[in-house]
Amino acid sequence: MRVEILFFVYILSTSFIAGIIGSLLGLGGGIILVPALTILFDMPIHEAIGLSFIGVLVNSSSSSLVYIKNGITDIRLSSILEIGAAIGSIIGAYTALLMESNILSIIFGIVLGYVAIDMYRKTRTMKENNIKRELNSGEKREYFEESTKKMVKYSLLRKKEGIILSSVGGIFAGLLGVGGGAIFVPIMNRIMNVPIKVAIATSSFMIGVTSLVGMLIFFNNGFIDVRIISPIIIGIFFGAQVGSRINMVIDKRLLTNIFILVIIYIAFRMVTNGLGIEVFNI
Amino acid sequence: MTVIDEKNKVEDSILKIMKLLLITSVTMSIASVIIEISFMDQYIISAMLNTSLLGIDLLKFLAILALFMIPVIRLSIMAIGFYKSGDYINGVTESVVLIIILVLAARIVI
Repeated sequence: MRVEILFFVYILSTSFIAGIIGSLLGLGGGIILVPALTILFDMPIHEAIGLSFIGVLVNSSSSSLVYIKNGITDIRLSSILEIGAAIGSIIGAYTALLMESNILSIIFGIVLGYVAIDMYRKTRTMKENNIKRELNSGEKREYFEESTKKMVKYSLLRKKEGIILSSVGGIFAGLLGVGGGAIFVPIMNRIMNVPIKVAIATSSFMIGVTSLVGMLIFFNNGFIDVRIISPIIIGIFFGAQVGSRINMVIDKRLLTNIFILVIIYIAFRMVTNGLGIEVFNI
Repeated sequence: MTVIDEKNKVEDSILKIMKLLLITSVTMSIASVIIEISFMDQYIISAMLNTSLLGIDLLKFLAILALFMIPVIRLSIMAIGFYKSGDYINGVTESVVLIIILVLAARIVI
């Protein structure tokens, strides 16, 4: 039952890199870990998703510590959205268990493509902080903005829509073993009028629940290989710590553009794997 | 106690518990790896490693348990905090999510 040392080192390194990239790009890590485990280690996608839930849970807990400490996380908002997200995650996880690996792989590739496009759009329009937010209606909230040393006020709008749509985020999280932040953040930011920083922090906090739900369902169905959970936990945890430190000293725009290309390549590989088409390997 | 005091108290408790459990989980994982690689031939440690719960080695089980407890304990703290501050809707929401998680966990154990 023991894992061979070399295999252990490979998994540790992969998780470490997934943790760094996830932290640098504000992703959960699952979006890198699942394709890495399937493409590099020929792991069945269901097993990769199961292990990814553990990595996402570690990453979200680790980043939530920083966000809560800085007072950015909107805990009341997370509690409103969590119920939809948890139910969505149950639906997503059971759907994933019923799906063929190749279909799951294609869906993963398509979602990765969406993430790449969304990241590209964000790099082009980084003017979010200048947007005048609606303040006249809805529930009044505020958070402390570190850069300006001021309290920023905002109004929480369209709560019902937010709850319904958060279940969609939960479905994707449970289906693909990712955090779901790529869906939760736009829901909060664009539909519920929440500032992007608060949306990212709150999404990170909520992801703990969606990934735990997925983890329990996959564990119960025997899709989590317990022999390799240790390197995943260690790799993702330390990768996220290193990533957050690198984040402070590099030109993030250039790095993001490079990773967008990497993600597009991974998306392409996931789709071609799903379709059973042989392509060149890097 | 004001709502803001209650909110800060809840955030502080969540922060402390999450930090403790995350460090426990990572420490257990590191210990499990070190023991697995270095002390395989020593009888007592080997016996400890072979002690399994739900088919998982003891240290790995503790690492997963600590991870599992992070959302569970923070949901409990939040539910209690919301009830105390009179925010019953959020309190009920947190309780429902907590029950969902506990039911899913119970299905593994039973």
